[in-house]
Amino acid sequence: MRKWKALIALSLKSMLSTLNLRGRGKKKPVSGIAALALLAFIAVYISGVYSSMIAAALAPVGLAHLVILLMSVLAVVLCFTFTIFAAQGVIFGGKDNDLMLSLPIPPFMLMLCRTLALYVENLVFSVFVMIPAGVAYLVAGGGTGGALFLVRLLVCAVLLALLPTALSLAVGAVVAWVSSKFKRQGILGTVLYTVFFLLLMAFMMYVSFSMEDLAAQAAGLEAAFTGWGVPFLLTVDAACRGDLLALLLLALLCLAPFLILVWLFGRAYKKIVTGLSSRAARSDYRLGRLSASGSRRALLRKEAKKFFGTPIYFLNAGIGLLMLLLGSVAAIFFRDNVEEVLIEIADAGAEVPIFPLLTVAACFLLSMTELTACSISLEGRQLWILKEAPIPAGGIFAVKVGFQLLLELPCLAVSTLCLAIAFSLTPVQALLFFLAGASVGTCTALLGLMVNLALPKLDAPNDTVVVKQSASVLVCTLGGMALVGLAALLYVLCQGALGELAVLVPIGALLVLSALALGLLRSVGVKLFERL
Amino acid sequence: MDMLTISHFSKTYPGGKRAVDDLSLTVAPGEICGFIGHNGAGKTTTLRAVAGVMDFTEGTITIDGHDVRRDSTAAKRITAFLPDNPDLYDFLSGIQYLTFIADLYDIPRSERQARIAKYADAFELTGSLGSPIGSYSHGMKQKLALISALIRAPRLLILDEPFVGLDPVAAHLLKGYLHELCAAGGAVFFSTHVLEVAEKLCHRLAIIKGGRLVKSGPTEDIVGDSTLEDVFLELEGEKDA
Repeated sequence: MRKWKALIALSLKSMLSTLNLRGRGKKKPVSGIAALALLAFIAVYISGVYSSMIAAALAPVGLAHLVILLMSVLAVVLCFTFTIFAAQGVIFGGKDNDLMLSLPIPPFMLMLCRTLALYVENLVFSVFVMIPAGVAYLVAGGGTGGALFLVRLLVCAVLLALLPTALSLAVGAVVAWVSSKFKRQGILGTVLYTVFFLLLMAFMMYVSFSMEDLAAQAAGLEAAFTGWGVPFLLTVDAACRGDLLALLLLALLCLAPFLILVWLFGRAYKKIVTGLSSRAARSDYRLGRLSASGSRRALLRKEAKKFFGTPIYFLNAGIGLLMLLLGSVAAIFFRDNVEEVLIEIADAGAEVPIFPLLTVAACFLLSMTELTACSISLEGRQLWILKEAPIPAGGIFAVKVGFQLLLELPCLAVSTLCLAIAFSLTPVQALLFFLAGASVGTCTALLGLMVNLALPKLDAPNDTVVVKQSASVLVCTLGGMALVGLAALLYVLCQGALGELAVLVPIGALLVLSALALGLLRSVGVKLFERL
Repeated sequence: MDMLTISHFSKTYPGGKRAVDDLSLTVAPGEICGFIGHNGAGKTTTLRAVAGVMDFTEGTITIDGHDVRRDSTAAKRITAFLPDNPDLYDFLSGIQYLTFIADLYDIPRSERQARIAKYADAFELTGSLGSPIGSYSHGMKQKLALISALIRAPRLLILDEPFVGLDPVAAHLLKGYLHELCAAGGAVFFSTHVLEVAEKLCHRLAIIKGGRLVKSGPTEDIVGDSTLEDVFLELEGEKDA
């Protein structure tokens, strides 16, 4: 029992320490918990807003329980989205594998404890999405039972969190195994995860289309969940109707796949981990004619290899860019549907501010592209190579910021072109759209690097914790959203006087902020880098 | 002019621990200087400061006349540093890493080709250069890091425990290359716990204890009629204890 406690405590401590906002110090766990509380607050806020809106709309027709159904799906999908990329690193790819496997503990126990750490992450999201939904359900007069209902809902949330954990575990193992069979396993892993991610997006679109069709006949919504959505229907029965049998069935449906997968992978854990790390070097290389380039290009190439060869980095830091590109290209293909919707809205007498909405959406996605926010942390124990090289800190910063912009600006240009065609934007609107996106990209790239220098995480056990859980990424994610929100507010305030040209005001503000961030990087940033 | 001049160098870590206290020493061109001390004596701290990898506030360090803090880029351009446990980019192949280093140091194409071939063949690593570094053993990574240091033809080579993890053949080769570098006017400053190697290889020795330099000078002056092990144990207060 003592071993279990020690291992779980180690996994949790490792998870919390990566969220540390104060750097190295005695208050490490406290700040980690504070950061976790912040994540919980976001989940509560998002779920609270959506749940109260949905509950208010459905309560008058006696269908308030559907809010529990919808939010339980959202909880599982959110959890899965967050942990799908983490499983490989957290469970199978720990740098301390050799040490841990040499200890007198069964590999099954080690794997289970690591899986439980992943489960805790899902549990936080699941509970803090479901509880506001429950409160909204009660407030809308959806049911009675009060505290007892909330207890039942909490039990359901605890069970539901097992589903994304099991799914992430399975996907992580498959991707790790498949990519370990190939030479360029990093890039292959990136491709496989991208495919999984696209499948997940396609599934979400399918669900949202199903709901759109059923919106007029909300009573039939539950029918859309038969089959794949049984756990969610059982959640409604168990929580809202107090059906004990449904609760037991839900427990069975959630626990069974989790335990089976843990048992299966646990039995062969040592073999899997050994197999994944055993990459024998070939000995048939022949030295051919070598290429040569300048130091800046060499550093850029290294950044690109790291980015495209690390699935967790590519899909977390580049997710906004991927979605911007996919969305923009899709807008061209679904141009007729877009026009149809716009005509319907115009016929209804409503006016949709297409240009500002598109700009805010694109800026929001660009603010999620945070390569620089973890690029120093990702150097980790290899940072000595850059520090020893005859390149000034400013030159290294320029490459890191430049690489993010090299990815963002061409994608933004393609996106501008696609959206201009799909939504018939004027040339001035298209130019303003591009400038707004470019200013957000520049500002977040510079600020992201500065934040990462202030909150580095150089001793992470793997890339996953840096990309997903480090304080710098957390600060930049929230900061980026706040930045775009403030820019949008500035636009709204100036729009009355300047019309669409009001976009130039937040663009100007962002450029001033970028200049300040650049100055800060050149002074404080260089000193922080030297101290690393 | 000395190749390396360390003058009144001190380093205090956050929390107040004084790792190195008022250390001064020089290494002339053509010299191999061994840096000896017990665990935690301040060897790695000093080597990292000399390599420009670690920031410091007290004292000055110059390499061939270039101040490590004020003129760091110029100092680094003529230096190569090898840490005790070199972590390399696992996502690059061996040849990609060597090309990356050659690019950072602006080594012309023809020269890099010849140098990589020379050192990779000698360390028997050529066949594995196409594989990802992540698939290398510890010793192979150590050899690759050494090759990446040697292809720069540095004026000053700084090595932290370079013989740990190397097989006997590679260790013998390395000793030869250190002499070769010194014969060409360069200098070597390295730390080691292997006193026999230090005694045989080094022209000069520096012994550090508790962050302070307790003895330095030509090897024969320090060792005299005794052995380096005896001298070291005596300085450490372990002899006849």
